Amino acid sequence: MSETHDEPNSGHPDAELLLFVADEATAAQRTMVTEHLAGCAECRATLNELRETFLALDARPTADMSDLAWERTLRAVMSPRASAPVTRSWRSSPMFAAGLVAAVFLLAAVLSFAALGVRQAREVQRLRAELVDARAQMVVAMLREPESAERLRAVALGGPLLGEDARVAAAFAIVLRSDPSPNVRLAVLDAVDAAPRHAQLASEILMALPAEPQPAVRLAMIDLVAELGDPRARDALKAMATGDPDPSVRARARAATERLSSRSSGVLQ
Amino acid sequence: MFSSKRVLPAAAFILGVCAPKIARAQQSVVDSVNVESVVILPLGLPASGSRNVVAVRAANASFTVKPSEKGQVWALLRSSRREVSNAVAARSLRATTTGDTVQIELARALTAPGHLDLGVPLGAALRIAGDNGGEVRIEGVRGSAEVTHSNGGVTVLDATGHVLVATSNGNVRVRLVSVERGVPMSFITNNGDIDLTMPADVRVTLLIDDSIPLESDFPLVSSGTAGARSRLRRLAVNGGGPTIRLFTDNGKVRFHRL
Repeated sequence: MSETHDEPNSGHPDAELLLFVADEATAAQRTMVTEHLAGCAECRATLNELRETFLALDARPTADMSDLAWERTLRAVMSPRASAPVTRSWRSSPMFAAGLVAAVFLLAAVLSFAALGVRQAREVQRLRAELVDARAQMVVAMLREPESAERLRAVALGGPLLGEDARVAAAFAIVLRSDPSPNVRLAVLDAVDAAPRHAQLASEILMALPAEPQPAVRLAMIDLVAELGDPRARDALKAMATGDPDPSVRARARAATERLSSRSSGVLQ
Repeated sequence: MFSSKRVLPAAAFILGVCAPKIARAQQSVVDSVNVESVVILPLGLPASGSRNVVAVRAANASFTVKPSEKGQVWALLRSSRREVSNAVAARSLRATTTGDTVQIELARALTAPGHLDLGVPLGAALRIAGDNGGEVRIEGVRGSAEVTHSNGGVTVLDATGHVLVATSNGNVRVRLVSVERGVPMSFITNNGDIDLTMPADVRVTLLIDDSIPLESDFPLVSSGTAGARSRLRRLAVNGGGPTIRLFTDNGKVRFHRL
């Protein structure tokens, strides 16, 4: 999902979509959302992300989320477009509340801020920061789970926070260096690839590269550092091009070195 | 010298009788087994009602994992060497039980390639960490599985829940009969094909580099690229869902409908 906040996206029924996923939509809203989903790939993708988030968070209720005024959050975020249906006591389910907090956070990124008043927009920004904080804490906690599948979930949840929360970036750096699962390490590389350029993580990838035991993950690291275009990567890649035990890694490192060299010579010209 | 084939059933029977004592121990080391190149480890089940996790770590060994008939956890290590002294065979495997997890590992490095046969309770969650030594094959366990390996193929048949595989130089073949909702999966090999079979109604999003050849029984709907810089594609299956990351540098991916 896009993380841009400044572009109004009024063509999508964001609020109704959240209510639809939360099973809180009225019959009319359900019909409207269903019809909209049939013709809108973006909202179908959003729907899937919301469902994933709900499932992920439903499995992990966190006590420190209980003090978030999520009902107020919902009202603040949703009031211009959905006022009537939010009447039930949703607080009755802490797990649901946890999922809702994340869902509101997700939707905060796509809601039309233009439809909100100045005070409400400011309030949304403040609440969004709170939600980022709660989500970051959860990501860091999940990255310590013994199950690799849980850590993969954490990477999926934390990826969109890269660049926003230093704790998540630091936790991802630790994963790159020491997570026992190559699948999780590769997921972190994918998250870095999808995020805005992150200098700290770019350096971490470069440092982790020579010690990475799995050739497939080394290949992904080489591709990524070459794409990131860090000139410091050239020496590391040159060393791998001759010294890596895996022939496919050596070949990829050679190609990446050439790409970096041609890029820097292009810059000089 | 004994033949492993002839002695194995008798040794299994004898140790099976002794199993309750071993099962009660929270930590146990396999006692001497006076059999050439065979070690058998019967363990009792963890407390009923809890999930069984069986974690196995062994380098220089291939693996075969199947459901055990009586719901026990057992391990049998075969060495390819003709002669192994009883002293060496006696303490080749170590087992630890902590909560719902049974951990089995080599007590000392194998000096020759070995093969580890494992029996686990139906539905057990498996975590296998290998390194060299040949294929890992898990069949009919009907639980989740995570396999980290190198220089060997990985086959996981009739799993349920989720599966994660990472290996180098080997094919990956996985058949899931049911998929846990909301859990991402990941399949990595450096040199080899990836062959996945999943239920017809599975809702997932494949994450795959566009340079990797992909054949699919499922209609795939592209939802653009996942990375800002790379050529990682997102392909929705049945509307999309949690991601399945597919990575092979020198092979192709086939995605079959169960």
